[in-house]
Amino acid sequence: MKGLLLKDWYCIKNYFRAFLIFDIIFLIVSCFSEGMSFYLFYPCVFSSLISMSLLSYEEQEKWNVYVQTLPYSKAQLVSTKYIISLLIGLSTVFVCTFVQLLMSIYRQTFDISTMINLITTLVSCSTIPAAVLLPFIYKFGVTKGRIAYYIIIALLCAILGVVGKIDQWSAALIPVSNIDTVLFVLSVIVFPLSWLLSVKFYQKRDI
Amino acid sequence: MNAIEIKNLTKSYKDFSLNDLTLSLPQGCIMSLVGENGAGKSTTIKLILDMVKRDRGTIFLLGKDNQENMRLTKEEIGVVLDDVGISECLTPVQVGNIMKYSFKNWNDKIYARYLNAFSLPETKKFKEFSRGMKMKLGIAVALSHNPKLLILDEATSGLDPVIRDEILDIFSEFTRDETHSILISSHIVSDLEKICDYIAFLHKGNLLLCEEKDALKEQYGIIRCTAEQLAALSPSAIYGTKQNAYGIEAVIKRNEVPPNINISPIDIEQLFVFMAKEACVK
Repeated sequence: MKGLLLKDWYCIKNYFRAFLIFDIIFLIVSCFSEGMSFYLFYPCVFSSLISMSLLSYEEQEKWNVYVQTLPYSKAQLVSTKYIISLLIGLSTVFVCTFVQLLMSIYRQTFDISTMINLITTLVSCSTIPAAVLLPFIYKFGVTKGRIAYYIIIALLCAILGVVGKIDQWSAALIPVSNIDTVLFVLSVIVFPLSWLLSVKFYQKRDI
Repeated sequence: MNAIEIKNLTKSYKDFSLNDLTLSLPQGCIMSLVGENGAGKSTTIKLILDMVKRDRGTIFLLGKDNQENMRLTKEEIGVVLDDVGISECLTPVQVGNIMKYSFKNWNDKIYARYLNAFSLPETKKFKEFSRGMKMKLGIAVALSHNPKLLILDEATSGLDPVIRDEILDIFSEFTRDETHSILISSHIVSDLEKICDYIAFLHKGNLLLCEEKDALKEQYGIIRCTAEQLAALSPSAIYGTKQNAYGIEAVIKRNEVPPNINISPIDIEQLFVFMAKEACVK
């Protein structure tokens, strides 16, 4: 599987430089904004969607057919995308958390429970989109899976917008920590389930 | 041992079906899978590589059932597809690094030798390659992990004659080792005729024939005659006919035609065209 991970790494380096620039912009904006955490969600969501974009490139370039001729099982092919998604997602969470930590120390607003809430939310943002999308793609292919992609993006934007406002209004109505916990538990359950489901779907699919 | 052994292979789609395909490729030989576009060549190859699920039948590759641990069997198979399928952003060096971690028997030296022999720039991206260069890279990869079986799907189509010739030479060289075999599909029959030992004709999902190339040439011939001369022959001797302004061309079975008739040798392309047309009429 090392070969597949290496291939994805080469492709990410080539195709996703724009993602890196977006991430940096959002990180910078988050440093100068009062509702900081809201701007940190975007890099995490972007990172989660990289594996889907990789699959889109692969279908376009016919790598998805060629790779079937290499000595890998379908489970390994699917697992590579989940591992890539986790690696990039968690790296992004680490960077975002680090920036947040530095800013909160600089502003003298550091609070451990806020930090834990932030980390759990970012982990959810970096895992749930991929967990929801990938089974669709492995079942229907990238083109049809893309329809699901747009629906999910619209929903996520709406949810993040609501969460951001709640954050800004000092969580008067619903305790944000509860939402964080629910999302985190959801991501821990949904991600492995999605992984298994994608393997099942892909094993049954003709290429 | 047969490199490929297929029995009663059947696969149905909404608008196409591959029907009851049975053929075998002996080790050390090259088999051409010939057929018009949509005849079922690529479907057969996908079924062989277990990329699509068959409805019925069995496939053995290098003596192993392709439903059992195909991952290990693929270590011994080199595949070149029509579209090659290597990611556009990769360079040959990067492709080599990926394959090194993919195939247990990957040989960097052989790969470097092929890159050099094919004059492929090591650090140029795949998207900047011409079609010929792309195909050569696909072939270099397929040959660099000591495969015993090469499966080539339209690997020579769209290439200029010089490159095609070069590539066909490499395939001939590959089968000098008697444990090496090739299954090559194409609709450019003249290419295949140069190198193959066996020919399988596919037409609309049906196998019209699968025989040794030399036996086919010995068995069939072509005559040019008038309608009266043709009528004098036994109907069982005539495989197919084509009328033009100068008379009739007919494919005949040599052993069923009187010795006084002048029979010209038939090339495989002519035979295939006649057979395909005859199958359409039937």
